Amino acid sequence: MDVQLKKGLIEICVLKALETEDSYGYQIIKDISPYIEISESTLYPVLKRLESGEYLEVYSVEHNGRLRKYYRITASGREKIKLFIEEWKEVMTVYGYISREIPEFEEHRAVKKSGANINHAEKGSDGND
Amino acid sequence: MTKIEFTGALAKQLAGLPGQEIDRITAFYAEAVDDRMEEGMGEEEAVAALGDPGEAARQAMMELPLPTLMKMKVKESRDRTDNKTLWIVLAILGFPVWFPLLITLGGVIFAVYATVWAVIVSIGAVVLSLAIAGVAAFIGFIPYMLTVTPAAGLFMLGVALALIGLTLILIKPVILICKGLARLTVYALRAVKRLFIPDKGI
Repeated sequence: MDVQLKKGLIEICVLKALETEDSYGYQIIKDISPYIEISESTLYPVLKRLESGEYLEVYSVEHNGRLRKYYRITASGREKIKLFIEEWKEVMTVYGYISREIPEFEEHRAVKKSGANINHAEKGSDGND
Repeated sequence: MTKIEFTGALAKQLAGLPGQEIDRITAFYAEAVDDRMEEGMGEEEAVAALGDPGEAARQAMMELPLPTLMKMKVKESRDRTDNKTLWIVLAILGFPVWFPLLITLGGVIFAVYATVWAVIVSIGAVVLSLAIAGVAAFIGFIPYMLTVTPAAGLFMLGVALALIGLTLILIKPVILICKGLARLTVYALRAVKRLFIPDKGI
């Protein structure tokens, strides 16, 4: 994946992880790992950038005799999430078109070639329109 | 690798940066190890999950402002030179070489930003003028109809609608262009920063 695209996605994932409650570094990584490849090396610059952009705030909490850094999302951070969802609606439409059309095209080609009536099962997509 | 070894290697890569920055970065990674160990991971495993200290250092440095990175490069060359007096003499003698280069670099960076900003402002001005002209024509077409001829007034209404329509069509692409240009400056700055970040292994 394009490096800058990935960084942008990680930024929005981090904000999402903080949407419902404040969190700390390792917890954020655990929360977003299922969705995107992330490690501390990539997380640190993202957190720094979000902080200087004032999309989140940092504060320290004492935990087991050491200081742990917690992050809290700001109003602009929540705005950024909303903007992302809006901007990517169009991307998702295009994705739907691209991923849906090709298998159907292949099936039409197969039917035409063999001349037989192939009973094809639709894989979860809404049938022919 | 143990936690101390990792943070030590990390600090070594960050040498030359202000102490506060080095502390902040190493504390972040130390915390990452501690959190993992708290969940039951062994120290070796926790440190391994962090990846390569060199890579961690490089990524962290990219987020620092350019002047800080430049100072680090200078400090590094100064620390590497055994004879400090020789270094100072060479730095002074070399002034006619490195100073103009520094000015040129600053000039190029400024030129990139200024050009991008100028293009954005110009495009914005064009769209704004179209909008103002369209609105003016729309407001003025009725009086124009009454003072000149109805046909001329209708023509002006047509012009008004065309201008307003053109403005509306242009708004989205213009915003996209401006965002793209802004991203260009970010890429340019990152490319310059990369010049100052050491690419050495541990």
